[in-house]
Amino acid sequence: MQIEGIGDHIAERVPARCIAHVESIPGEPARFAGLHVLLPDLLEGWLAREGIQLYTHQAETIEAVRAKRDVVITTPTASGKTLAFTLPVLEILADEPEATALYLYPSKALANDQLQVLQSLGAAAGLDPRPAIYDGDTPAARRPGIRATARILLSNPYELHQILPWHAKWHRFLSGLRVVVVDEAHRYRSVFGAHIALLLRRLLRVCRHHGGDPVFVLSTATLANPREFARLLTGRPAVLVEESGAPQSPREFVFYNPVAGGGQSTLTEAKRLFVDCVGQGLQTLCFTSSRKAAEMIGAWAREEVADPSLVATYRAGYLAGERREIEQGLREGRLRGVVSTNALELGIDVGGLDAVVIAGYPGSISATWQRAGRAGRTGRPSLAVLVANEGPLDQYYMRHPDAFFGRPHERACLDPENPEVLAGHLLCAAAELPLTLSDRVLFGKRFDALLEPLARHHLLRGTPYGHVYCGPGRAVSAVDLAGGTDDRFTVVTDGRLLETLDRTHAYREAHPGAILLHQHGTYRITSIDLETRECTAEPAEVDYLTAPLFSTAIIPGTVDLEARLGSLIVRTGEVTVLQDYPAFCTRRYGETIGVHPLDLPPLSFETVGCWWTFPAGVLEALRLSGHDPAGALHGAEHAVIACLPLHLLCEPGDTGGFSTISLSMAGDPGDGCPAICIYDAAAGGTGIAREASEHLITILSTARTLVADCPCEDGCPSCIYSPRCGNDNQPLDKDGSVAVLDAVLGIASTP
Amino acid sequence: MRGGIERLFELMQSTLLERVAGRLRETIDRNREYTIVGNDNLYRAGFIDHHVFSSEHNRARALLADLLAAYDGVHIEEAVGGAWRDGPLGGSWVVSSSESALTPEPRPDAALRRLHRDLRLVHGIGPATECRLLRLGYAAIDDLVWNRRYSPAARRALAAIDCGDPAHVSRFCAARRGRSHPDVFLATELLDEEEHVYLDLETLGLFSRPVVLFGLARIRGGLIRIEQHLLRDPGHERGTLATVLDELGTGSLLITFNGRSFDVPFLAERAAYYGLGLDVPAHHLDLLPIARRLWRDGLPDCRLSTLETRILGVTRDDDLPSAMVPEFYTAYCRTGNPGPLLPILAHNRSDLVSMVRLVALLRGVCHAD
Ligand SMILES: [Zn+2]
Ligand SMILES: [Zn+2]
Repeated sequence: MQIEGIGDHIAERVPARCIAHVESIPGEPARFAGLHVLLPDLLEGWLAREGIQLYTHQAETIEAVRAKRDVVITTPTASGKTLAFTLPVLEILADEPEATALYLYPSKALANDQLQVLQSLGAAAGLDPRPAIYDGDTPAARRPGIRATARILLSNPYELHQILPWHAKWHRFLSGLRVVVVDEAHRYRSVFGAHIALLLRRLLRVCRHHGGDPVFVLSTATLANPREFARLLTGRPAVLVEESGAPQSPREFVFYNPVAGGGQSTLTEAKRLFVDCVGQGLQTLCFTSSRKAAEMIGAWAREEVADPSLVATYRAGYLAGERREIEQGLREGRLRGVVSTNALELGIDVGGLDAVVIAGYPGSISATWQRAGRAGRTGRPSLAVLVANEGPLDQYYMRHPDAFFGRPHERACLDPENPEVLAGHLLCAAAELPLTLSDRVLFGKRFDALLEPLARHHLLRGTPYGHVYCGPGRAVSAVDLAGGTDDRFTVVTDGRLLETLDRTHAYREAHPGAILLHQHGTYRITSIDLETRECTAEPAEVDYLTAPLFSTAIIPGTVDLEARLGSLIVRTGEVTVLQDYPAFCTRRYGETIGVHPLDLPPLSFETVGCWWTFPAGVLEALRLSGHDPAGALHGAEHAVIACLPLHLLCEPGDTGGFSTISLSMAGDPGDGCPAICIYDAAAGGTGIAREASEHLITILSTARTLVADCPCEDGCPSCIYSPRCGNDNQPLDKDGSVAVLDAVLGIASTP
Repeated sequence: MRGGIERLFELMQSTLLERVAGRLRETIDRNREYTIVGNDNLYRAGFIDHHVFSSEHNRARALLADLLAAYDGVHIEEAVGGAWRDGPLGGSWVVSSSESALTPEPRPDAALRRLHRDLRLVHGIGPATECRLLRLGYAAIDDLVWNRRYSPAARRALAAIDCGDPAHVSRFCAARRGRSHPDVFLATELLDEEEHVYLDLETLGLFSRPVVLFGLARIRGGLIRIEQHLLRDPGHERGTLATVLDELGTGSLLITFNGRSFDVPFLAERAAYYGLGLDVPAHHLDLLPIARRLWRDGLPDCRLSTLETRILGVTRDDDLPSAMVPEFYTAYCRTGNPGPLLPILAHNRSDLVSMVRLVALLRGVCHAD
């Protein structure tokens, strides 16, 4: 069939009210550009042989790297980004025999994938950049050879963290380092981002010591704040390359909302659309957000399509061979339909497909486009369908597609001054080379303030030639880039280890009486030992689930930003979060059937929060109009948290919330007033609360729209119900929430 | 008023960072670099693995507590002795002592004769050829000079052996025979014993941390002269390192146990860390591979302390496992109490003395047939 008008086609076969929106995106022709100075003959020759003309964004990138400027490229997937930054790298390697380049990928799999690309590129161009992967899988015997000869090194942040202490052995490579490519940079946000930001500063520092002076090339998904993000990540300004010159074939993007149709689940509907597309002869990819969902849709679809051998499931965890076979099947057109988790989302080349079905909003606009971008072959129209689930983000975009198609993408945040992260990296840096005052520029304003406590704890020692590391263990072992902690609990059944959890998760999922769902069965936790950090579990057959009840209290510390929006005062700063877990409830089919006490000491952690207070009169007015003030505030807090991922690149669990009808904060001008606080759920802060405070009006209005537009009566999972609420979603007052948000927005707009 | 608020903010700020630093210290203290193994589990321990037997661990923890109690308030100079010695970059604190050596003198002539008799030092001669040539009556490399086939290679080998530079002879033997071959040991016999320097480092860990004690031993007039350069403060590492490297000079022979993978690269890394363009002596005899080749079959592992007990017949009492040196030194740093330094010095001293004894033993073994 023709893809043009596929929206109409779908509309004929499904309830009309499920079609929330059809966006027709016209195709774009390619835009080419020349360079001021030609590339070396070898490269020009290769481009000519291959018939490759440079797109505008590729030329821009090449000129920027030639000018020794950092670059951030945000053009879409499949726009030729790898070529854009590899051509100038090859040019430098061809011109300077000692020059080297480092390509950092977030995962080993991606590096493996790109190695082949770089090998064939280098070979085809008649250059031998000796690209080599150096990661945890590299055999010890090959390592010295790679250190001695590789000119392009492909690695990942975890490995780089381990390499830096050995920098003396890397003298050749580091002294020649001219370009550091950071691919998939948008993944480096939040606490992980802070780690990577500091790792890159350590790299730069060690590199300069050996005489290298690289430029950074960041390749990221589209962001609302690419320049600012690049600056946070590398500490330096970057040239932005955002206009893609690559051609774009026309496409249709359908927003499909089963919730509006009533009853049908997202997965069933996604399966139906997937089978339908495959049946129409369209080569189709269906993306799910979990492995389990991928397996389910795959299994159902195989039962329904005419020839089940034409449909496959793809996910991480499959053997490399199985995955390669599926990738090849897709490229060759042998496979007509594949159901996949985001394992297929990245650079892995499967060719262009006809249609993509996305089961559930992937969490960000970029991730959605990345998946949708899998559909589209040169010159042929393609189709993408987003099948919504009932979550607030999905439902918001179903009702406001303009916000998806018209608005800039989310802002990525990270806080390289997170003291918990910074302190660890300062130790690593001090173990690499003595820390001196000149390092202050790299590590920011907390540098000086941290040296003294670290020295007081005998981890650093001040000397006339800098602070040296003198801790009794490896500094790099004290820093887990993945944000893990060594404060971990084990869950054991019958002497066998089931899993390990960090303290917060142990409190929530492995308290005595908790029902723990594990891959291989269901268990009931029988005990938790806070000293040995061991939980014991027994197999259980139950028809209920458990959820912890917890209350949160906030103790504010230093306020480092106070903003006045109209008459609304917004404060941002350090907060200590105290969480008390007095009980848990048992639930059957979503309904609470019992509440049981728990005996656990409270948890606490220090992080960054943002809070705002308003006059108690607002709540008084609510009470008079028959609303529940506490429920209204609580609902407003949930709505604000729920809509953060619409503006900031984050996940719903990254932020915690707290609301009170009477703030108790001595010395704070808002003492005794109603308040709402949002805080970063990771110790030391993720940058999200800080960023949110700067865009609070926008966030509050989105929250208001989210709740006010929801067709439900008293609140539902699409608006103010939160799956992470510690109070079992009680009390909540939907209309009251809208009124609170209106009142706060009103105060913020009155001078 | 404004100043008061700023001060208050500063105070609150410093307490947060103070807590952050404290948590980090706890994490680092928890990450030990050795594993504690049960005493019966001898074979899990393996070769030069970083393990501490649980009995050793318990004894050392108890020792630490005792020392902290016994040396509370005692001044470091009173506890460890020693004197300041000037060096190129500030100097170092040196604790000197000596011990009778009772070691046989090196026998350079005998060693040279033995090297001349090892036909396999000639390029192209493997075990089978060696046997055949010996049967044919070629008893020394000198005889092969007249053999048409091996003459050029034999001349080259003789030139190498007789070059007069023990460091070169040593490298030649290691290249031909491997680092664990007795020839490598014999080559070092060619050097005047006054030029031998035994070296053993105590560090805060396996890599990229300060060396806290540089133990040096030399043979002078029948005595083992021990000089231990101790960091009274981790901040003194640069000056101490420079003093030690300066004293080692470039002409001496460095004798270590496992120095090829540990002490020598460690020194080089520390010199690079401080940007010192100083070299570690290139002539180096690592006793570990030689000892391992000779005795590995009869021993559970090849730690120096095991060799002492099983081969040298010496037992140390109250010794500190080297993997626990960081804990002891850190205890000294954190408390200022010099007690924990004593077992570090004693351990290092025992290692140096054992190396000298091992060399004496190897003299016997390598010269014998
Ligand atoms: Zn609702
Ligand atoms: Zn709640």
